[in-house]
Amino acid sequence: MRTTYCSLVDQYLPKYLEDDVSSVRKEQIKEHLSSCPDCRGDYKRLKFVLSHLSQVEEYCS
Amino acid sequence: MKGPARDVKSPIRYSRLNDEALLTLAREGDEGAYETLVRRYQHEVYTSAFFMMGNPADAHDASQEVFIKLYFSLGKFAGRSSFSTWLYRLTINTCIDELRSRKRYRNRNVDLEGESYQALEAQIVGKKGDLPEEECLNSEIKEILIREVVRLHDRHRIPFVLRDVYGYSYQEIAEILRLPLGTVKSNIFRARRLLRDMVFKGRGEERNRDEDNILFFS
Ligand SMILES: [Zn+2]
Repeated sequence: MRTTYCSLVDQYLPKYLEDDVSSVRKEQIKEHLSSCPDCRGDYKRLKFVLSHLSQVEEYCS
Repeated sequence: MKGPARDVKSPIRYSRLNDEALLTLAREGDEGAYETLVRRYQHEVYTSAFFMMGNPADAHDASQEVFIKLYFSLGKFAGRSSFSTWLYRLTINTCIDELRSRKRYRNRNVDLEGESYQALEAQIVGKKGDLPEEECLNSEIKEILIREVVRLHDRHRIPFVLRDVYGYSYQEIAEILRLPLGTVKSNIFRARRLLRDMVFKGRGEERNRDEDNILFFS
């Protein structure tokens, strides 16, 4: 079940993906992702979208 | 009598010339060479403009502006990058100038209907005809991505497209858009999450806009 903490974690996911968070925050997020399937799914879907965007570029270059 | 040299003027010969050769001819006032360059890049320029402007009418106007600028700046291309790279930069700058001149960048709400996507799709289908099979993108996810990207609000879409589609650095984007680096990053990060939710949850529009404003813009 998504909690307020989940939505907070979600807001940090793009930064987390770029390793643009403090080491403490990084550990907190990592720990939450390992225990929360919802957020893990959101994280995977975010990575999925970003990985496909580089291919969208092929339209344009 | 120049004889065979005249053949270079035929459409077929033009299409065989590379960009640099066409540029050289175009600089010498050869209209056919210029037209060939326009035809070669019109789909790409339109697609880039569509991502930037977010709707077909503005994308069309911006594309025309790009090719007018190209015509008058043929002599300015210094060859430091490839012609195509230079042309994309010209396209992006043209779009940014246009958005800025209309003072729409920060405030405009993009109201997009299905026709926008259809217009882009028509361009892409047109482009597909010109490309070898393996260069065509036909996966559904990419089409969904494109459809959803253009639905993002300007302030999210534009920095996001510059970063994630064109690969500019955050710093470059901050300079292009004349916005603080932190704002640029926030908007890009927000756009990524929005896009994810629009693609996977089928939300037809940006959600929680007020929440965004509270979190990132106050
Ligand atoms: Zn969670």
